[in-house]
Amino acid sequence: MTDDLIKTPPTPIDEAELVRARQRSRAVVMAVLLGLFVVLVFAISIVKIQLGHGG
Amino acid sequence: MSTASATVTLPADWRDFLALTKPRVMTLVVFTGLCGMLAAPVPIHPILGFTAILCIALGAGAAGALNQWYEADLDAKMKRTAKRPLPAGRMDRQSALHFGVGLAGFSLALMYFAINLAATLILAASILFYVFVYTIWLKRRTPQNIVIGGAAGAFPPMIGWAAATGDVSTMPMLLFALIFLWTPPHFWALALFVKTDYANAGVPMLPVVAGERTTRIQIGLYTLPMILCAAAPWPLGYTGAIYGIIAAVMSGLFLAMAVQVAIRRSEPDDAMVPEKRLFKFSILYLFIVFGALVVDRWFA
Repeated sequence: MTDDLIKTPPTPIDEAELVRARQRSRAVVMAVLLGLFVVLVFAISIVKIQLGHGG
Repeated sequence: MSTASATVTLPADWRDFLALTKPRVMTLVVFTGLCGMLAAPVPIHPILGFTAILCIALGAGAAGALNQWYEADLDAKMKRTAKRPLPAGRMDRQSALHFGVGLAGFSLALMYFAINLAATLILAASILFYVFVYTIWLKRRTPQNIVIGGAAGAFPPMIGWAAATGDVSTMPMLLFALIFLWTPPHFWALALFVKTDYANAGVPMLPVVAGERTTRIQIGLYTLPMILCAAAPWPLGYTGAIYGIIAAVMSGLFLAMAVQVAIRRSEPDDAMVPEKRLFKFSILYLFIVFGALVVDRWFA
């Protein structure tokens, strides 16, 4: 009920800001995941070399 | 990028991509895959084991995303699924498709690079089975949808086992059969109390097509071979008494609840308490039986 009272249509500037915020948060998540992936590939490579099937 | 246009399309939030992977369903998939891997007679290096489980999770997430991509229209018609990212309008279908295909390809490539071909092939089979056989072919056509489609969810312990050993033997096949036979009583218990939802969406679930009586009997009938599969590893010598006793007790409880559902007849405005109880217990059942498998292996 209170939502209806405070809800106003977003202005174009609000929307553009929201788009940028979404893109920023997606980019941060993607960067973190890529970083973790690099660490994982490095760890897998070390383990494979230790186990003697580095290929 | 336009800055002052009224038609700015919001890119989906990363949380919506996460929701697309059905994280709650993934929990059970990851757990059974992990147990299959830990119950295998060959130990796997922890980093490789972690990678194998990650690949199973990503593969399951990809299958879930592709399922939601294809079923956006169905999801919109059901209360239980209407708030998912696609029916709620928080994401466009193309993004979901690209995400699902990309994630599937990534999980398979990583599995092949880090683990082995056997695990990669079974993971690929499970993703393809869930998307093409269950979602696209069976779900809207036959009340046997979850019986045959249940095979997709039964693959993870086999993948975990194959990741550790590089092959598939009788024991992982028994684990496959256990989940395969567990799926119908689990989903039909759910379908009994959300029947209207399925009927409104036009999904031919067994209670909608064949009625409650048949569904209840089928729940009882599938439970019998399921508990035999759960008990079999002990007499066959694949596990010890710890697993055997826990599986027997849990299977006895499952059977008692399934029989209660099977012989019942619902009244108008029925709260469906035994059906809801069986549905919840069936999830706990799988967690405990698979957990017992690992505990038994540790103490063997």
